[in-house]
Amino acid sequence: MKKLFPWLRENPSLYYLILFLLMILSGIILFFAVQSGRSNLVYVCLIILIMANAAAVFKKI
Amino acid sequence: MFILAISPILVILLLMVGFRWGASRAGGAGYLTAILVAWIWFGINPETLSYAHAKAVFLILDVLLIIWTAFLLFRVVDEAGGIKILSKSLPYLTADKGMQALIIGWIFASFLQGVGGFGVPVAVIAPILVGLGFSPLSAVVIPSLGHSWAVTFGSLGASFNAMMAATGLDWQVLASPAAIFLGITGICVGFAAAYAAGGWKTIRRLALPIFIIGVVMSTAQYLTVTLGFWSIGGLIGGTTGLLIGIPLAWKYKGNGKSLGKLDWKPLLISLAGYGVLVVLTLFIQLVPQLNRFLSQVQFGFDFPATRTLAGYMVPAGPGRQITIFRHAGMILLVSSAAAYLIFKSAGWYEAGSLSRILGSTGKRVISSSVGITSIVMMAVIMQHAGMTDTLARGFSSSLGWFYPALSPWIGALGAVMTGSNANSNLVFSLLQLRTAELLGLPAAIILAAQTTGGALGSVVAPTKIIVGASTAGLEGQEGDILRKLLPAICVLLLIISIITMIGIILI
Repeated sequence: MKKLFPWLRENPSLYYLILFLLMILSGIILFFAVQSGRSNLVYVCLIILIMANAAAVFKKI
Repeated sequence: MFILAISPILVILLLMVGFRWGASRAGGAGYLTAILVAWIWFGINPETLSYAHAKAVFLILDVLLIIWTAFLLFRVVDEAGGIKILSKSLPYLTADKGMQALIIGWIFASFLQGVGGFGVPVAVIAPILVGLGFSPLSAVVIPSLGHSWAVTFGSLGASFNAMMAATGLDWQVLASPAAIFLGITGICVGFAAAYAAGGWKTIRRLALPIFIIGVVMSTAQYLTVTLGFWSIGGLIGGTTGLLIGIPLAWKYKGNGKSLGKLDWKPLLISLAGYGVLVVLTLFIQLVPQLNRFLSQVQFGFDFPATRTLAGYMVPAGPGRQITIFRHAGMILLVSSAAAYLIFKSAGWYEAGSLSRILGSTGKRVISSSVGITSIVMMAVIMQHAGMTDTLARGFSSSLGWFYPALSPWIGALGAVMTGSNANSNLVFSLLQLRTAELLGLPAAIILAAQTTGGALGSVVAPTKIIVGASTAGLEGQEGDILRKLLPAICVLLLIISIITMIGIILI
C-alpha cells in the first residue's frame, strides 16, 4: 500500500479513473442488490460511494 | 428546511468560488452534504438512496458519452494541426480591427464552441487576437462574450442533453424556446463583442453586418435544433456564421496592412472531421430505416416508486434509456475515427499521434467526469429525498409570479459555481421544472431561461477565466477580466429576465 499511494499521487488521472469506476460500478450494482433484497451488499456499495466521494474531496492521499 | 435543502448547493458554491476548489472536489463535498441532510433531516432510506444512485448512473453515462467523444474529435483535429490552420486562416480575411474581432472572437468562437467547448474557444482565440494587436484584456473578453450564446447547443449539445436527461423532457418540448432565447443572446453578444473591440464607434460602423450575421447564425441554430438535430445546433450556427461572415469580411476589408493570400486547400481538409459529423448526423436522422435499425439496442432500467421515511414519494417509471448506436456520442466516435483516417491518409500526423490523442483526451476528461458524477448523484439524491421539492416550494411561495425573472440568474449561478452550463442544467433544471409546475408556468420557457442563464454564467465561471488569463498572458489579473465581463453578463441576464417575463405573459 505504501508503494501504491505515492504512485497514485503521481498519476492523478489514474486516481480519478479509479474513483469514477468505483462510483459508476457501485451505482449499477446497487440496483441489482436492492432488487434482490441483499441489504448487506446495499450497505457495502453505499459505503464505497461515500468513500469514493470523500476521496475526491481529499484528493491529496 | 429550506436552508437545509439548499445546503449542498451552497457548499459547492462556497468551495468553488470562495476556496477555488475544482468541480471534482467540490462536487464530492456537495454529494456528502446531500447524503447527510437527506438521511438525517429528510428521512431517506437505503432503498430510496440505492435507486437514486442507480438512476443517476444512467444520466451520468448519457451526458459523459457526448463530453468524452466531443473532446476526442476535437483532439483528432487538433493533433493534425487543423485548429491551427483554421486559426491562422481567418485573419487573412480582413484588416479591419472591428471585423477581425467579430469574425474571430464571435463567429469563429461560436464555431469552436459548437465543435469543442470546454474552454477551447477562449484558449484558442485569445492568443490569436493578442497576435493581431488587441490588448490582452480585450483578447480574453471578446471571445468570452462571443461564444457564450453557442454554449447550450455547442459541445455537440452536451448542455442541452444534460437538461433533457435531468428533466426527462423531450427535445420537441425544450428546443424551440431555448433556441429563441439563445438566438436573441447571440445577436446581443455580437454587439457586446464589437463594443469590447472598439466601443460605440465600432458598433455604429458595423451594426448592419452584426445584425445580419447574428440573425443568420441564430436562425440556422433554431432551424437545426427544432428539426431534431440538436447535437449539431451550435456547429451549424457557427458554420453558417463563417459562410456569411467571410463575404461580409471582404466587404469590410479596412485600411490595415494586408496579410497576403489565403490557401484554401488545407483549410477545407482541416474541416473534414466536422464535415463527416454533420453528414453522419443528417444521414441517421433523415433515413428512417437506418434510424430504426440503430435504435434497437437500448440500455436502461425500470424503477419502482420510492418513499422516504418522511413520506415523500417519487412515482415509478423508466430511468434514462441510452440508445447506444444512435447516441450522439457514438456518432461522434465514428466521426472521430473517420477524421483520423482522413488526416492519416493526408499525412498530417506525426509518429505516436494516436497515443497522444487518446492520452490527452483521457487526462482532460477524467477529472471533470468525477465532478459530473458527484454532482449528478447529488442532484438525484436531492430529488428523491424531497429536497428539490422543498426548494421549489420555497421559491414559488416567496417569489410567485416574479420567479420567471429570477430563472436565468439561477442558471447563471449554477454555471458560475459548477464551471459549466451542463452542470448547471444537471443541478438546477429539475428545481426549475418543479417550481414552474407549482406556479403553473410554462416549463419550456423557464427551462429556456435556465439554460440561457447557464450559458451566460459559464463565461464568468472561475475556471474559464483562469484559462483565458493564462493563454493571454494575464496570470494573476483574473480579477480585471471578471470586472470587465461581469457588467456585460449582468446586462445580458437582465435582457433574458425581461424576455422570460414577456414569454410567460404571451403564453
